[in-house]
Amino acid sequence: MPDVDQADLQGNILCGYGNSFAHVLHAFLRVDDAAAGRGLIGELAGEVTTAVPWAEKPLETLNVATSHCGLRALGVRGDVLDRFPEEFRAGMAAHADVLGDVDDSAPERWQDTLRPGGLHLLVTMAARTDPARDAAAKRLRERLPPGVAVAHEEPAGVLLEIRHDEVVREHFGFADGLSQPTIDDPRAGPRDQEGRGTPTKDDAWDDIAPGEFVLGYPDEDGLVASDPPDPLRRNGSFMVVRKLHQAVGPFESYLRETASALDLSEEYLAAKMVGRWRSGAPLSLSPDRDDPELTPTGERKGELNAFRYGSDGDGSRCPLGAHIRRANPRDALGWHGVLTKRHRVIRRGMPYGPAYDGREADRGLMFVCYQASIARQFEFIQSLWLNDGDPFGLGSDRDPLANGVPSRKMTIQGRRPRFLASLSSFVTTRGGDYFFAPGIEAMRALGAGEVS
Amino acid sequence: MADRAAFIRYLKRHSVRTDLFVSAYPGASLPEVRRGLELRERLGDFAPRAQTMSAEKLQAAFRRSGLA
Repeated sequence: MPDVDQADLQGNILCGYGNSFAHVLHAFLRVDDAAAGRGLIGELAGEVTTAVPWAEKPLETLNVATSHCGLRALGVRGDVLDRFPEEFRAGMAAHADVLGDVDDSAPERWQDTLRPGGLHLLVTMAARTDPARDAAAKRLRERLPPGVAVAHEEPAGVLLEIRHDEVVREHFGFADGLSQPTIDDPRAGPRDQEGRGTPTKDDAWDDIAPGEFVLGYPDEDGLVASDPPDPLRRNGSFMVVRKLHQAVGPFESYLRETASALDLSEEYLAAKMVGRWRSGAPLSLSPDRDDPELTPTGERKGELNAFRYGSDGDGSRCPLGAHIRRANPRDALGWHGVLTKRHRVIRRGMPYGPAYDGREADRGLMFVCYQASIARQFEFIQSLWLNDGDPFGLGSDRDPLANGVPSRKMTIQGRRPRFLASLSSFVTTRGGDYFFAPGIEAMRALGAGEVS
Repeated sequence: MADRAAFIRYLKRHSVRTDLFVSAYPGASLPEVRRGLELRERLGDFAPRAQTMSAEKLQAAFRRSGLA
């Protein structure tokens, strides 16, 4: 199997930049002049941060992705455009029903500047300081040629206000990003860490084939994607970007009221909904109380993912419908990891908006994930595992933190089961689209008009 | 159905022989599965309301619910 070509792959896909790059700006660009857009892509090809390991950490990073309408706006030929997967061509809004983006999450209600069709290019800048991020953003704005304009800017970043040590938390207060897949490549990503790859029948974990996330390499079935055609395919990765608003006040009130009605603690309820305590400690290893040793800064941090669901088939430790058990069921569907290994994503999202201070504000998660197939990975997880209960024997129950229509109930299994009802939609989709992060050579080819 | 026998003939003529057949609910007819799903939905709505009821209230509510 060929090693991943790190010099041609954009950074932050297989191997994350890490939380020291805490200041992010997503600049969505609109291209009205194809030649001007190509000129910009060609220039940026020489500047994007690649996956080559750093001798020294830079002050900021820069990465580029394009939506399908973006490729069209760059003047890419029709026969090339047609060889992208259906869901990428259609765009995220067109799959609103699959994703549960209905009611308040429906595309008609998305933020004006994040509506479908208007987001052509996405330039993501991640910096170690605020001034470095702002300077990078200013440089980008100033260099935009006539015919390319900023459509929307969305700052995001680590919530420094509620950061405890090195633990990065999302707005509901949970430590996040703890179970990223390990990659079967000698250098390109995290390797050989318990609980992050595919559970095997001999009680081990296999790293995941790079082709599950980057085009041009064998995937878990040993297949290499044939589309889109080269030079675009090689070292490209599909990227889902969603702005997800989080209603922290209503979530906290719900926990308070329900905990009081059921005579349980709020932290216990929160943990049962998610499958981990807010500290990151997994219920599968510590079902009754939080465990400071089993956190990203604790003594047993290496065991944060050292669990399976097979021995917890009735959900008495981690509920069958808990968020992390749905999003990454590991061996929960039987046959070890055979039924789940082709449905993993690499998450690179960051919170946006101010940390919760008792007042409602526009805050949530700029959700970002990378994969080789949006339909088989992100959409599959979202529609079959988060938005439905059937795969887990839970009828029409949905993820308690899913966007769109709230679940009618959630069952907390146990000797005396508890039921959570009257859940509201704590998460609302505000916009986004499907993007493609091309390899460096692909960017050069786009810039040079070789696929126009 | 207008011509039941014709419909059955049509199905038989176009059926494909298989060696393996998966049935999620062996022995259950479609109406039975539908009734089961409907019952599960109703029980799913009832359970959260019932979990904080006293034994007497629970019994009365269960009788009223028609779940029995």
